[in-house]
Amino acid sequence: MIISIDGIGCWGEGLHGWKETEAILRGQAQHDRTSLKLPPPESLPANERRRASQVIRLAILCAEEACQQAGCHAGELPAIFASSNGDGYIINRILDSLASPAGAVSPSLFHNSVHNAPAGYWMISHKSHQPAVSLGLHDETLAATLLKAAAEAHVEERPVLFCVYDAPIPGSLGTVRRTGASFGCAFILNPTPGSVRQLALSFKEGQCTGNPFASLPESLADMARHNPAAQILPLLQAIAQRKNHTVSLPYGANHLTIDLTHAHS
Amino acid sequence: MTDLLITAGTAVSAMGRGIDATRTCLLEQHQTLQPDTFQSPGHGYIGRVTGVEAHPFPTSLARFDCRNNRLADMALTTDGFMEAVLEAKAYYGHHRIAVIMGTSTSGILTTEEAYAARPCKDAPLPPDFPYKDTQDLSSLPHYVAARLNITGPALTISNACASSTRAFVDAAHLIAAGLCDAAIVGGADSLCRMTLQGFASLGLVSATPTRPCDAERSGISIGEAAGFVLLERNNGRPRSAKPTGYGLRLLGYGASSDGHHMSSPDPTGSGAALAMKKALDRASLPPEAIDYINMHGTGTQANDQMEDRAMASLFGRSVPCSSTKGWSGHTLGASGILESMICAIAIQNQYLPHCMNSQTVDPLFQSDILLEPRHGALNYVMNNSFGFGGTNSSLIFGPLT
Repeated sequence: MIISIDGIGCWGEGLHGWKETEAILRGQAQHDRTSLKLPPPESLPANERRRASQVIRLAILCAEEACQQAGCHAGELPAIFASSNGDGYIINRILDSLASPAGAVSPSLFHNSVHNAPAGYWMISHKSHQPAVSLGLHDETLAATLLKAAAEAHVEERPVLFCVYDAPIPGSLGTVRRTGASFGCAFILNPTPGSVRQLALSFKEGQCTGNPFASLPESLADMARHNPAAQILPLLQAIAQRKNHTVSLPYGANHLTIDLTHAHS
Repeated sequence: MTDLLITAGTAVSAMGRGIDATRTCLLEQHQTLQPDTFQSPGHGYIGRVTGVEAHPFPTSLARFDCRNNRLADMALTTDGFMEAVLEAKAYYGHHRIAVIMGTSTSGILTTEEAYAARPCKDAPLPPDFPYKDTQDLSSLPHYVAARLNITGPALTISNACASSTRAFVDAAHLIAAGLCDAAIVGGADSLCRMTLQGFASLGLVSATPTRPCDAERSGISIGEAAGFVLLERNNGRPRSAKPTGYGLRLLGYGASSDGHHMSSPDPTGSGAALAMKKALDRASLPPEAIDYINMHGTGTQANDQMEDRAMASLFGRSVPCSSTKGWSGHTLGASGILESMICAIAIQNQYLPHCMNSQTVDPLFQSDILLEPRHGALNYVMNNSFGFGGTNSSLIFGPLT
């Protein structure tokens, strides 16, 4: 299955937008993991901006940037949002509340706790009636959902927004689900060939071998090992360096092979 | 769209385990909702599945043991579903069948219990706490895949209360793209304090058993359910004349967003109507071809009014519709898969179930809401699900011929 990437968004710890990330991945700038600044997304209406959690901001900043880069109208794109942990900050707070003597849950935390909250906020911010799906599959979230997004774009014969993000979980839950750093990335995936960057996806039987993160600088390799969404970094590195590259990601008893090629222009 | 068949299907809910028990519950109009004794203090009424705690869970898969996967296992081992999958697997190969599951809260009850057992706030959970195999979203498809020995693409859809309805859409994409030949589609959502307390905090839980579409309706009763279908291409393999459990043809699907508000539906119903319209277009059917709509019909003021508006804008008064949540309770992310089985029962028995517990239709409603069951010729039925985040999905089913 061949799919073009028309736009890219990327935010995370020490990665404030695609421009900054691209420079780091080209080796032209240092990656400062200690800084995470997530500005309130411009597209969110004031009410939603106030209510949006850090995880929602992370996802929406990525989606916004990818749409801007592709020059497409966000409200016209079906969306595929993907995350392993969802909003761990909110889930942990609700679990704490339930364990407290009163046992009551805050209503706004509750409706923001659904896995599709970032997708909901995104659609609200663009008053969009397009379909949106929110997916997850633990450490194999990226492989499973990128494949799904590409399949949707092909079957429905239209570009889609693909946004994958994950953030650490605080509190007790964070002790059994360790996620190193916040990271998110969005692509506008176009089933019509023509873009400079193309991905060929193949779902193959059997396990894959090798270390997909070997080419990354250590701080980013560490991010990729400990954040399911950041498994996309080797691909982003090859995009930043305009190199053709192949990545294989485990997917159950199978694996997903992603061949990135750049058209000569 | 790719011609898709449901050649096997089953579900478990407060209405019963499997298609026969669920049919009996509908036809004999059993009362199934009970006061919430799942937690203390309880909130309103719940649709609780009996026998979950005592259900024998496979010891070889004990790491997956949680209420949600117990419900899933009860469904998997009902109506000959596992045998039907075995046959499909023998034909297609275990790697050519996908597992596409919808759930909103997965096995979070297990984590709730672990939090309650902590010595203090923020204390570490036991290092062997099975987060991945219980609470994590991947738990359900991984359990189902392990139980059925299937290795095709696995995926979890978590679109709140539209999760398992939307799962049909995602499964259809994977089949049409050639990534698999068939898919186990379904979902599970089980009682937990997070949803019982969460919906109560929003003031959405009815003090009395839920009465969808009633003028006096006062909110939801939360329920739990699990269900599965075997979805495959038409002519994908030679098949037996009779489905296992239940069979249907998936004629159309439609998905949309409200783009309006996180927890309140758009009162105009335009997003919901768009999902229904897309399903009709994909099925190449005019609105008047639909013989029955199984509504999302949660029993809240806002949902039922919005859904009535959305249906009336497309169907006028011409299509009988009802919500069966007066029996099952609102089974959240599993409601779509449970109500797909109810659609199959409606077609098989040429029987249109009514809104259980509801006495007087909201006088503002324009749709043909059923307060009494009806017998009638049924060919095409629609199943609606809507959820937080303004997510809408509609499916159209026809008989498996």
